[in-house]
Amino acid sequence: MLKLENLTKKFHEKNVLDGVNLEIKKGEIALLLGSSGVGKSTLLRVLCGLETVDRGTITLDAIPLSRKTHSIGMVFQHLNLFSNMNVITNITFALEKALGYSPKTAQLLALEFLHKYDLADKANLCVNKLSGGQKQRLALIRTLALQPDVICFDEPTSALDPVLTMQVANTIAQLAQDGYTVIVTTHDMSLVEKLPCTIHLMDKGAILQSAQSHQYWENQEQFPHITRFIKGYEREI
Amino acid sequence: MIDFALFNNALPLLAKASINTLIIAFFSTLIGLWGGICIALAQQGDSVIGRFIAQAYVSIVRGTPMIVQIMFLYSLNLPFSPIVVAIIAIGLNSSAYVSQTIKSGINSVAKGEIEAAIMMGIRRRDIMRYIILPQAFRAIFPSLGNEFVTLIKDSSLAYIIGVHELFKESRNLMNVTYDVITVYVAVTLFYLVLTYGVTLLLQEYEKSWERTC
Repeated sequence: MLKLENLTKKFHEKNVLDGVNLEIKKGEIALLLGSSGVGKSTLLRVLCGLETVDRGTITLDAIPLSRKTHSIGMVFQHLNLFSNMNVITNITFALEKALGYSPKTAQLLALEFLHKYDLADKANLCVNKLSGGQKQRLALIRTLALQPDVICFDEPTSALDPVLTMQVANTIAQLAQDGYTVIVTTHDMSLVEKLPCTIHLMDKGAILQSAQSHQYWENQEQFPHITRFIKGYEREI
Repeated sequence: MIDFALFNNALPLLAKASINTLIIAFFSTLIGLWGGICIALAQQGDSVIGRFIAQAYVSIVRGTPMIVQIMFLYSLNLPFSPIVVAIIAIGLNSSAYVSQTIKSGINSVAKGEIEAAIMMGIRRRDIMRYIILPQAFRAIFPSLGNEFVTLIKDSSLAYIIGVHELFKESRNLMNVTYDVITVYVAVTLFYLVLTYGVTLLLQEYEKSWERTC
């Protein structure tokens, strides 16, 4: 279980995270909702070790996250693939340099993933020759190859059409079924509808309200903050 | 006006001297490139002293004429031949300018790629070597090419310490023939051919990169 306790972070005297408490079980999908600037991406960056917190603890299976290397993976909003490398090197580079795999082992593992995600024929292409969906899959493979326990997605469908959004939703659901803990920040309400998840609405750097998605869809009045956010968002669209 | 007989006779001599010109430009560029990388890294590093020294070096070198720097190094009576002294002096001068180009190249690399690598647990050294520098080098290659072309021209300053390069050879020819116009036309053409030829080669090399990542 991933446990976040009282995470607090100030930036320029503003509380970007203001006492975030969250428990996410293994195999669960946690969907972080909220307007821009409420701290969703900062929370993911803290989990990935790209930002530090002023206060609070993060544990994974009761062990502090700082003692567990490579346990959190992240698929960035802009994917952040290494643009000077081809498809397969994007995967093998991390395996060799971060996990110390031999080039041959890294190559075999990368090819296995590329076959699984239908990118094997693109192995030697430059990443800028891939389509948006293919880049998304490559970013996921690169993350999965490092064998994390938790996978974070930062706005995974922000630049995708409905068909690709559906594919991403299916992939996320499959990852959870495979036992990964998945955390997703999104503005995309179609993901909320498609994914069996726990919805966490963030506001002013804290979790304002949480709900199991099936409970929410059965009884929306019980979760007024989430309902107000989703309805308000739909109206804006 | 132009003595074509002298012109034809001067060509082989100038061609031979232009080899030294290219040697000075090539090795100065290498020193400038490696020195420039070190200075750029020092300027972006965590060490305050390192940043101060790098900044001071850039300010001093860019704030003084190259001819003074060549003469200064020559006056130190280093145990090297004049051509090596010229290469070192021009290379060190170039490194101050190249460092600023490299710095802008490093800053042009997408921060997201660096963050992704940090998150994966890849060491800073490997991030610099395999992600930042290759991309930065590609971005600044046209500027580095221009620097090489500039150094072909700047190498003429080596004549001041007696290096037998293109300009020095032209001075020798003038002293013997007293035909300044013919010799200057010939040497001008030589510099043009060298700089234009190198520019074309660099452009072709740059085009070949379009087929790679």
